[in-house]
Amino acid sequence: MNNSPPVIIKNLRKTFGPKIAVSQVSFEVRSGEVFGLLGPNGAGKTTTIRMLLDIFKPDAGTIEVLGGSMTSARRDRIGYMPEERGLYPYMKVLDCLIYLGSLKGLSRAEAKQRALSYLEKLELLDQQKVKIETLSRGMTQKVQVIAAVLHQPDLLIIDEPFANLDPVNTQLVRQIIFELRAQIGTSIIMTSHQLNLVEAMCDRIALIHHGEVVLQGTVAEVRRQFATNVIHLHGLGQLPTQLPFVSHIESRTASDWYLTIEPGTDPHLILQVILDRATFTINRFEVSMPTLDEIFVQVVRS
Amino acid sequence: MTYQSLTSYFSFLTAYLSQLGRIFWHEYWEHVSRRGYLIFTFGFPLFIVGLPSAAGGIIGLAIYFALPTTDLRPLGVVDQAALLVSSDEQATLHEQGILITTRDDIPIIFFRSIQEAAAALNMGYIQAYYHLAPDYWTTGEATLTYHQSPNEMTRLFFTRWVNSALKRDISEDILHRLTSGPHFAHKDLVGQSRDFSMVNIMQGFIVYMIIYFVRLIGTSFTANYMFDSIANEADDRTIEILITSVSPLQFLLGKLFGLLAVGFTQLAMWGGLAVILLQLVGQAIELDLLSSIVHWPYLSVLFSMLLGAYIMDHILAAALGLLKVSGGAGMQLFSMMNMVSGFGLIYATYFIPRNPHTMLAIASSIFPLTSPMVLMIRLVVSEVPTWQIILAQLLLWLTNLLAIFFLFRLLKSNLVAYKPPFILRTWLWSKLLSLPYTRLKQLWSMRRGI
Repeated sequence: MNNSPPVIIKNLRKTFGPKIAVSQVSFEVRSGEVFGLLGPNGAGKTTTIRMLLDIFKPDAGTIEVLGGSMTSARRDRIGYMPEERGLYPYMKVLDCLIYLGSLKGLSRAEAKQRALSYLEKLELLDQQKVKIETLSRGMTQKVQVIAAVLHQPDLLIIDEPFANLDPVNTQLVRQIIFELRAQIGTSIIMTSHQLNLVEAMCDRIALIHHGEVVLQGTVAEVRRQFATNVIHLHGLGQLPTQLPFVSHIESRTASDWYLTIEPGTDPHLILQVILDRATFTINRFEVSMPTLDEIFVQVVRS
Repeated sequence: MTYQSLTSYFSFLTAYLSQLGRIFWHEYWEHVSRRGYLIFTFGFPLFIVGLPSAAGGIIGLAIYFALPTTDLRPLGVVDQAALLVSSDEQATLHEQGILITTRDDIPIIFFRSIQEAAAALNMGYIQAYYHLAPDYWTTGEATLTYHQSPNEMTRLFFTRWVNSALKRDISEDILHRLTSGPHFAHKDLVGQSRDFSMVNIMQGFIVYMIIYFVRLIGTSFTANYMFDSIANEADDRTIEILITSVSPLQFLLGKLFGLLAVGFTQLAMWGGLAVILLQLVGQAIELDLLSSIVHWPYLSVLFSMLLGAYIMDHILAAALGLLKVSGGAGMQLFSMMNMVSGFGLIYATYFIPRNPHTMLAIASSIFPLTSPMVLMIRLVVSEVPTWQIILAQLLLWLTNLLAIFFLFRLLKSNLVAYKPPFILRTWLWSKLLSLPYTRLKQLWSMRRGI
């Protein structure tokens, strides 16, 4: 069995005329992980995905998908959901899904059975004979998700999967994606501007800005990388106005305190000092880290 | 080649063709099962046959009711020119006391004089009388006298009677020469030419019209499916999904063949109905119209050229769709193509029959864009060397293969790479006018600086 990562991208470069769309992009997607490809609009995410899918060739760099370069057999093991549209508007929901499933190598009967099962899971069974052009944007989005996962791909690439979905449907789609990963170990690449969802779903992320990867790693690593020198304390009691290695103490509520520590100070040392004083019962002690949203804004603005 | 590699090659080919077949069937079925397609496919022949028939029927009925009712009384004739019946026969008729004869079920009474005829008319024995005066042979004038005009059919009957009487003493051969005109045998020094006649010109014209209308239908209707289909899929991004499932070539071939089949279904439907109509008309006029077509020696060449031209039109439509030319502009380009074909009609049907072996005629019967029209006309009116027939077909089909290859390149570069829509003004500006404008602007700035 091949244990190499399902996606290996090295030094990818693509230009459109004078515009450099992607430059020196490198990342790996590991088996069974959810990988978030983040970045502002026009950063080069979709261009990278399209090169990955062999829709067009890179000017330089190498791409390995599911163990090698793109072939017809590998293409059948990939599921892709573009950011918008990508379905025949004049077709009925079920017919369209069966057709797209059959192009991925499923028999008609199998495609139909799976499509009906997914339609039921995503609460679209009533819409199976409705023309796609008459569906709402959220419903169309769910049909697109089904089209991408119908053949149970080994690699699923989903561009903004939650863009038009309400919280209930977001939850349903998340379930579908995680089910797929749990059942057959599908590796997932997703792009999204809903960074709270990325934070909740992704094992690792890469942030692309101006066509280059500017940040990469697990969500925890990235957050730690941007961790501030602020400690969040939640508990009962009174803290002294001054503590060693602490430059500023702020009480925001009766039970929430924020301590700004001096640079280079180990937070464990502060924890030990507070415990020694025994004037404050600690319920939670955490090094305050920025959210992905905050990191995103910080990186893009810098 | 080992057995294993042969097997894997075979399974790859099977999978490839199977996907191609799915795209083909999808394109075909999605189009032929649309309501608009069905209405048009079945409605068009009804429109073509039904409308003229209905119009003809209405006009016929209008004429029928507008005409005076048929008068059953005899028609009088005073033939002093002895045109219809000789003087001797007239004398015999009168001596025998038989004044009445019938012709085409119309009773005729010959009178010796106008006075007798006028009296009979006044007494109501006859509906009208014709008078052919003794000087008819020099004047060609006859008179018709009546109280109420006989109907059109009666007048037509008398005109035909007079005409046939005039031709009575002319031999069959001379009559045939008079009606068919001179028959020229065009012979050049290498003996390539054929006998040239009005029959050949008419055959050539009919062949041209068949090709012209099949292409007209192709470009006006079915090639538009290709244009719309590709332009719409580019617009709604379906193409992006498809080419992550199949190769661009599979996508292109599946779509091309599927939509060609849509067009063929339509043509087969209309062609089939035309054959049935020919058969029915043939039976009505007791003439086997179909056998002359089926046994035509160039039928296979005609089919090959028609098919080649038809595919070429579809490839062009697909290319326009890939270039994302807007719907209106696409239609205009198609109309222009049809207009050019229309202008070719004059050359192909007038000049080629008279000069079928000029350099221009040979070149245009080999050049793929004109060969379907010109070669067929030359085949009808002259002996075309076999090498020219083979070369014309080879070039036409080779052009189609090359066109598919370029279409594939176009798909990869234009549609997939998301180039902006082609706008002639922008293109002209970037290619031709931008540089001189910038230079002039620089010169102007420098001049002002000085």
